[in-house]
Amino acid sequence: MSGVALPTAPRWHADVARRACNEARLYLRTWAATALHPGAFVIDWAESRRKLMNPAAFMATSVAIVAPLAHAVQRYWDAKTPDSLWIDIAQTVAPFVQYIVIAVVCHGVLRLCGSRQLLRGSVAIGLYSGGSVGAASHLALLPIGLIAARLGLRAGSELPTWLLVPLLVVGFGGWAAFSWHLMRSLRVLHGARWRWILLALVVAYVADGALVGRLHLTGSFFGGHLAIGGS
Amino acid sequence: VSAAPTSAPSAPAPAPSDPAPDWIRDGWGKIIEELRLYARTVWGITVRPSRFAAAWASGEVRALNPLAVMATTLIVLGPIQHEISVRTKLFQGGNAMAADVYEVVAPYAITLLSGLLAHAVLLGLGSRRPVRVSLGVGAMISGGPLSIVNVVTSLVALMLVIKTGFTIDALYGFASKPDPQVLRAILRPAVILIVSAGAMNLLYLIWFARALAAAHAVRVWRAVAAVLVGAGVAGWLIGSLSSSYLLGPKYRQMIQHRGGHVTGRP
Repeated sequence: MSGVALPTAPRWHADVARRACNEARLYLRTWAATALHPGAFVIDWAESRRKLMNPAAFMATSVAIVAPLAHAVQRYWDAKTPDSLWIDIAQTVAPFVQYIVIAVVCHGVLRLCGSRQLLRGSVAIGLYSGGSVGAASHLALLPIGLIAARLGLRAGSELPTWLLVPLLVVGFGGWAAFSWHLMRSLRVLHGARWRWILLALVVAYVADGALVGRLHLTGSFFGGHLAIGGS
Repeated sequence: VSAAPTSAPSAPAPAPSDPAPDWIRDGWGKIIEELRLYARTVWGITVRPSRFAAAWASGEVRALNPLAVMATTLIVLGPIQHEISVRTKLFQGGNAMAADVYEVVAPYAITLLSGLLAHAVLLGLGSRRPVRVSLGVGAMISGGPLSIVNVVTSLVALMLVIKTGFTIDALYGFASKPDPQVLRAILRPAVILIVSAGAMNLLYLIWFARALAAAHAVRVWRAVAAVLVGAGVAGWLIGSLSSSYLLGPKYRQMIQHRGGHVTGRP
């Protein structure tokens, strides 16, 4: 066998590492661009001025980072386990799917208010906002859930004030940050006035709350969620 | 066209001049391209394991990255496999999430580890190929032949549950407390399950050995020996590690709990 030169085998492991690094870099760049400068980001994205991650891939990456951690804390916090893996997966992913629902409803309202923008643009903005500021607010809530669970507190039990206050601050802060980010991004994309953007967001939150209440998904949201009509 | 003035709170914002990029079509196009390459790779390694593995190891054929093959198979078949397992109650994970994940991931982990261990044996038998070749073949094998083995074994198990009400609990129960009456009830389905699973695993080992032999350019019997050693040690190692450390006392308790139950046809 010696002396016979073997052809070079594909360096697939190096390819995996290189691709993973490139994707991670692109994700971080997109995250920073959308989270820090939403208005400029929307213009850059809509006019394809710079290389940014595809909105669906961006949201999928955020879900892949946040969902397993959120799932672990949720299970720790709420010992009840779902009947099937599908329900478990659906409950884990539900908080992220709602960003699409909110974006679609906002789009409908803004179209009625005279916008000519395409639906895919609004959905992309929903995915970028949810995958950046939304995901960060999910992450920020997790340490509080972990502390509560470590203290032996479970879903349904009363939280002490020293834990309730940071929970409310982080929960509402995250929600406010996401709402502000989405409004700024949608305003630039649709070229709409603030009052129409505000109206669109209020309608979207009501619709989202109705959906969450109807599907009984409140258990999927650690820190609470608006639910209308649910038990 | 003049530059947009700084907008007052009530004024509309300056909108982008172009419509939103078609990111859905772009994303979909990439997914289709990846799936096509995945199908071609899985087809090649399943239908012509020797020829495909030799060509891949020499860089003569364009194939999907082996890790991507394994990940795609896991994503596509994993949940289905898990659902069948839960319904057949053959590898019931109880309520432990770790046990559920273990049941889905274990066969792939065993295949990769088998590739690694088989590589060590092949090195001892004279191969000069780098370890990435064995791991790559192992990962690609998990996309094709391993999936077939898993699907066929699951379907046989599903059929047995539907026809006879047989569950793994019955087997555990018999192992912990041998009883001739229980033996009569479980003998036939247990034999069918063990023989079919054994045959499928034998087929899988032959597939794996043929692909490894071609990739390493060694005789098939050497690859068969390497795969037998690799799969045996990997199965034992992951099996004992999982019950001792990875899944913790909850899983052990569940296994012990199974032993106390005997389930036959209701």
